[in-house]
Amino acid sequence: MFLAKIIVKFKKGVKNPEEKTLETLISRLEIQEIESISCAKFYELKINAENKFEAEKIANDLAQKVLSNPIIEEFEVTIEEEICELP
Amino acid sequence: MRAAVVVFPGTNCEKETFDACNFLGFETHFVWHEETHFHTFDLIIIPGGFSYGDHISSGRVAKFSPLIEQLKKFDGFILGICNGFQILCEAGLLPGALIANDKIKFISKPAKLRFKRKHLTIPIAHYQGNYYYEGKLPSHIKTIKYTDNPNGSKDDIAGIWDTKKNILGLMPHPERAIFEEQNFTDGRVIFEEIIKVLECRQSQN
Repeated sequence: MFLAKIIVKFKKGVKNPEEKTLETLISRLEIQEIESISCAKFYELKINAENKFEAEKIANDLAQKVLSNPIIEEFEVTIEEEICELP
Repeated sequence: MRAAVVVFPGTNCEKETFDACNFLGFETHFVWHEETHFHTFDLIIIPGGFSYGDHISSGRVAKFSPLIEQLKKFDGFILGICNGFQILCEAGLLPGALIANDKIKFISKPAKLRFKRKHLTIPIAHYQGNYYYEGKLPSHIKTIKYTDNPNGSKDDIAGIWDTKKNILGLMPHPERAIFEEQNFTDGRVIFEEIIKVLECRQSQN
């Protein structure tokens, strides 16, 4: 069993209205230390696969077909070490 | 001519769309989204609503429906209204994508549009109607624009019409501007344009 983490975020150049709202709020709250903010969607998957490579392929396929729209979004997949399920 | 109004779980504009089609002279039927025998229709309409509750993103789940997957092979006219437009973009049948309105608010109001040198007023009601595409649209894609951009859409785009494949996607709801009691009747113009295309196609066959 592998743990996959997928982050789906807007591509550079596509304005994310949520980020704009957060930026406005941060400046209203006068938190000067925060230079910029970006938001994304996060998914966590448990995958039954033979190896890390196969798990990555399964997660990539799902991210591409279901979790993102390639016109406006890009995604990152990271596979964590095998999870040991306790009996 | 025969029109099909496609119904998904969560569709909610199918009845107005059905009535609009009947009013404009179509023999109209409801078609469930799992149906794949729809090639005898002249017009397929994917109406507005919240297919699958807009989960993940508007139209994302609906694009995997058997009917949508078969739609590439349909040679009549396809009209997607609001959620229907979102589904057509998600499925890659129309270019671009619809993201959340720039003020992250649901907007429901009459919108002013420019279409073929005519000024129209047709209601909009959406959260994800901010049209985005990369670069320039090809020349066979005609646009329908807002004269007073309500949602931040790129180039004021309210709808796009692929004149080669006969696919029209619109964020405004023409079916909500047909009957006098709806206050606006400019939605008829959209359906009449579609009828012109269909009549032209029939005379060629």
